[in-house]
Amino acid sequence: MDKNREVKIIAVVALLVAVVGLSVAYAALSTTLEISGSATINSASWDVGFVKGSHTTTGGATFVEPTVSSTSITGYSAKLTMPGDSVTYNFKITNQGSIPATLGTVNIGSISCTGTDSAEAAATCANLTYSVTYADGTAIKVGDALAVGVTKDAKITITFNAAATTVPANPVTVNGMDVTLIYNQA
Amino acid sequence: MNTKNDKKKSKGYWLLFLLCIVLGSLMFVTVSYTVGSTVLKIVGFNTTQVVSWDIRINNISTNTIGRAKVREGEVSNTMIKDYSVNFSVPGDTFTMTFDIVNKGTLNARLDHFSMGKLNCTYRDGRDASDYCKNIYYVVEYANGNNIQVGDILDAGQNRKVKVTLKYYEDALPLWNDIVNIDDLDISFIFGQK
Repeated sequence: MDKNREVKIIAVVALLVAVVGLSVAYAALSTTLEISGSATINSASWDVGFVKGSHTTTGGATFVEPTVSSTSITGYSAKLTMPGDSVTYNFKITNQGSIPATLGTVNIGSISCTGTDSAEAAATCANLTYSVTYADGTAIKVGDALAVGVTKDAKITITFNAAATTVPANPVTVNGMDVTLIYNQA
Repeated sequence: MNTKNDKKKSKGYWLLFLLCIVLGSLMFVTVSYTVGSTVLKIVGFNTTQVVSWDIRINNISTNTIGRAKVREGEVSNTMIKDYSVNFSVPGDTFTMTFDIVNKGTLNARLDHFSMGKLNCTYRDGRDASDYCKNIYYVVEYANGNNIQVGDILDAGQNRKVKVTLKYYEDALPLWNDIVNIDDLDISFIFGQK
């Protein structure tokens, strides 16, 4: 009886060994490739503003650079002395936020001239050309889109028309050159 | 009588024992044959055949569109660990490609494939699964075919896999919060064909 029991035990052990052998054989030929990762979505940001530019002049024109912040260009001045003189101030409007923008309001002033001689000032104004446009000359208008990451080049130009035949005897101050652009979320 | 039966039983057990030993030996021979990294088998007069098992990742490459940023994580032959992607604006996109290469001499079969389901939470831990509907996530072969259990990777063959994570362009901006996305994990288990 003991002998039989012993034989049974040996047989069971042998079976176990065979099963383990099978498992080892199965597990050996297997490779696991694993990739792990994560992501983050940042909060939206609103950042539309000016970027300082440069100026060009022709003839005897002179120019004093403005003070530029992200939302204003102030304090520039131009001096024109002869027909043909011009000043162009180039600047950029940029959307560095994460939200697309659209131009909701455009206010471009109309120039007026003052001087000790009002008639002379008015005549001078008639010989001036003032414009605020994109760099390619196209009009800045309500509805213009400013997509995320986009920067648009623009310019302010004032020209003493070359065809003018008279120059003022007294200094003429040109007013009304303010520009307001209001961008909204698209 | 009992003795005779006992003897018969004993004989039976011994036969069973011997059979198990033979089977077990055969298994171990098979294991020895495959676990060993190289077996030299001389066939014919001057032919040597090397048998090996080697499935690995190779040629990892990442690309981003827009303001997406990526940190590429640790890389080994069988793992790309803890890469991370950062999106800033809708339209941002991240892609990663890698080759799965069978550098061994035994053909392989894809026995298991799984990819994560995007677990999204806001900064304070709230569920953000609704916002994650703005995220496109797919793992496929680079030729656009689906990855399926049973796909074969023959010896010497490689297949390029592409992972794409995209922040939909028409998604509404995420105001004053961030969304964390976990469970971008991918697992391939290859077995012998």
